[in-house]
Amino acid sequence: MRRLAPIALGLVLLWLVGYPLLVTFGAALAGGGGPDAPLGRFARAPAEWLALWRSFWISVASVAGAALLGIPLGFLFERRDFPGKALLGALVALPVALPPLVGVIAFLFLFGESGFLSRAVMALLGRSEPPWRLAGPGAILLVHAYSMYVYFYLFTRAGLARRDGALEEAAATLGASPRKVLWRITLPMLSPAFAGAALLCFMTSLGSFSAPYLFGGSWRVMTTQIVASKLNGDLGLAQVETVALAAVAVVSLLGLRRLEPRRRLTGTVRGLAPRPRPLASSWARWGACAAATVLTLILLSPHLTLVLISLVPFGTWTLEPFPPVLATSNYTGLLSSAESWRPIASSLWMAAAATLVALVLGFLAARRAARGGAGGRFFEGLLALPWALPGTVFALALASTFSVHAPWLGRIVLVGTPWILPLAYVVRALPLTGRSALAGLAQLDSSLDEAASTLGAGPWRRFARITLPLLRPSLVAGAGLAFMTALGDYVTSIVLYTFDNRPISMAIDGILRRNDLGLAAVYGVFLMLASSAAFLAWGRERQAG
Amino acid sequence: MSPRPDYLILEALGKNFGSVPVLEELSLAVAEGEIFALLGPSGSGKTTALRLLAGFEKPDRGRIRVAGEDVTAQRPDQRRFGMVFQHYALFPHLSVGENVAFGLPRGPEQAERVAKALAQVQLPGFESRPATALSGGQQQRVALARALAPRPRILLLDEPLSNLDPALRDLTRRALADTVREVGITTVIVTHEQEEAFELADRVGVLYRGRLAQVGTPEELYARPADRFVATFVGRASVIPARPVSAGEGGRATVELALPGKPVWQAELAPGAEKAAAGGGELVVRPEALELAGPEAAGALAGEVVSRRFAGASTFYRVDLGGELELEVAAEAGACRLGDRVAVRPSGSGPAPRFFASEPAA
Repeated sequence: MRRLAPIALGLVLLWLVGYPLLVTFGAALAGGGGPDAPLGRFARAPAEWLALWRSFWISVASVAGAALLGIPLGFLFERRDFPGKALLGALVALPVALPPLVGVIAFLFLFGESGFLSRAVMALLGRSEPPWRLAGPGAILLVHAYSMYVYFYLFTRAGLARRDGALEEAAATLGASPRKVLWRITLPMLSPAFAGAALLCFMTSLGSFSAPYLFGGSWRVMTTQIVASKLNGDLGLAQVETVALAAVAVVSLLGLRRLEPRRRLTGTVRGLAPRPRPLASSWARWGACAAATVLTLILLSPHLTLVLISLVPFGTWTLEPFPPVLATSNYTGLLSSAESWRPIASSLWMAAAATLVALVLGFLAARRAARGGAGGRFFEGLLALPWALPGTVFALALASTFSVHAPWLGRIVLVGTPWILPLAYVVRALPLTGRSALAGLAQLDSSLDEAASTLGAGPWRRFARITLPLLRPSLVAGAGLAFMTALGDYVTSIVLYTFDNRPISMAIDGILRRNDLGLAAVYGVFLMLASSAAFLAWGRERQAG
Repeated sequence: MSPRPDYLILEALGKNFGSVPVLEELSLAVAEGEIFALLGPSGSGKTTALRLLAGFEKPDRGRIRVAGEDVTAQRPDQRRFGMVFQHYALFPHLSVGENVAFGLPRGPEQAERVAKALAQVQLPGFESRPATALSGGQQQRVALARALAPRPRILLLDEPLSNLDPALRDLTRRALADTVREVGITTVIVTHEQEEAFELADRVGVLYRGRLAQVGTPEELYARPADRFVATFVGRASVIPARPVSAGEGGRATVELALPGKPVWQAELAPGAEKAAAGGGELVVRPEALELAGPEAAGALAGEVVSRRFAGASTFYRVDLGGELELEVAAEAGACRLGDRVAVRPSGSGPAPRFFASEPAA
């Protein structure tokens, strides 16, 4: 029994995480490279290579854009002290908690052809045509930079807070000017933080689907290309594209890992991080406060727009620069219509169920991983895999694997049933719950468990009274992230949803086609509120831990 | 009922990590109510010995018995051993009272036993405090109360004082010794600090490279160390290369120091050193067995005072003999100054200089 449990766990995880990839890989290579086989068609189509190249360069550009926005912001909030800093600092981080789809539609409402900004310009200039179109790579990049700067912002702040102030003081006593201290000491010391943020940005951009799907149109990157092939019924080509995207992701991940500084940048001297510089004059303090407020408002303006649009009743806003009627009818409509409420109920139960399953599986796998050795690395690898690969890859891998009835090969037909989507959510949630549990376990002092055992507590009592209470912050943090991700998921849903479990993202997708902006915004606001709540719980538990 | 002399028995206990033996054939008998210290430098295997005793690790060889019962295969929670951890391992999410109650059966008596255990370590009424809000010394006492409350058969102490600052250490050490003696529990302490072992323990076992080098009372270890390692690890000592020239009675011998002029001192031969008497070896001398003398005195070694360390009752001077040899001598506070040329010879008091044959090259 003791030996069978880890084997059973390993098999379940392998079946969920590793096996679908293998099936997809096998299917993609099956036909060989002939002109009629998917692989051959892929290799001979310039459009495919172009999409792959676009995926790559847009990710690089997104990293640059996010860094340009996030790093100065991090310095402003960590190095300066001004009124309202704590609140503004937290608000600035909020976009990371919002599902990408919410950010995208918020952008649409603010910067789109019929968005506020374009209407304002039209009113000002007396034009009747929208001054721009929010489409193509520029729009995608804008959305990426706007939502991913938070990685750089948070990593910069954390890096600055952890830095050893004695090093900067030492440089100053050696005659270095503040500018030289910044370039020669502070920024190099932050390079691990920048590398970590760049890695997150790059991988997120590579797997980004919502922005390219809604703004790209025929300008395809690999994620949208895969979904287009799948929706066109060309599963074979979609599988080859999936393998290509997965390969780019893995190669990029390994490459970026190599770029991370090998040297340990924590010195032997442990000084305290210097306190933020209080600004001398009250003019400067309030000036910094005002600048930070304006920045925060600009950064959050798409989301504020979303709230505003959710208050516009259907059909009341035509050509005016500002909506003439604001009412809560969209909200009351949602609550009174069972049809409109259903996607929310579907998303909630699927996200909750997937989070629960992922929490249990992730914790069990993390416990194995924490033991180290070959077995530990095996479980750690399985936990990391769904994180390293774009969601599109898993959506397609699961769609390929579970559309065939071959129980002796571990394949059953789930596609077309309401079960495939929650299962996909579980796979996507596993790295979030599992890695979070692993981090918690790594911090757990093993002598606490040993102390409990010398006091006569058996394994179950130790788990319930010691391990679980102490791991709670990590587990809640992981569960919060997993729930947020599942609730706002778009890419997995578009490939795998059925009529019976149409989630919120697909409801928004449908409504946008009908142009009922108000209702779409209401769904968006719901996602925003639910995600913010989960994010706040996550933050609180992280601090408690 | 008189205390049983072999209440806790370790029988040829051995443990490997990979192919490296960290503990080889550790055999030991601890009497009921005795306080036994395992003393050794880091890497000596003392932590492994403690973890085997507690049941956190399974030995590769040997057995552990308590009161005649073989506990080798028992899990830690079945052994009824109490343990105080080096960093105390207080459960941070529980209050002081809940920590102490953790090992006690639920019931009407629980609160009373918690109160008694806390009173025993001079922390009465601390039940509702958060465990993390205590000072280091208080945490140590809560850890002791928690370990003792379930009335264990054996108490294990892992470096019990290493986390306290020196000022607090003396006080806590005495309090710890008082409590443990009052309870009368059979105790095994693991430590790398000789002072801690000597003050707390009835007997001390010195561990070196996974083997017990010597077991004895603190006095025995200090005056008659079994080997060169024990001699220098336990207490302060100087080492001079030497060889015996004639054996005397009762293990005494005349040894010739490998120094210019070949001075001759009287020494005791360590067990086994007689056989290797013809070969070379080392003389180990305690500071209080040396004195400052005039340069003309017989057998005196001349050198320069390079440091002094004032330690209350006496002052220790380090005398450089040249050729990277140094002697430490105990003398009065004003006996000499830094830079003085002095001579050093055996004082005839204190533990006799002890000769150890060189270990055959492995």
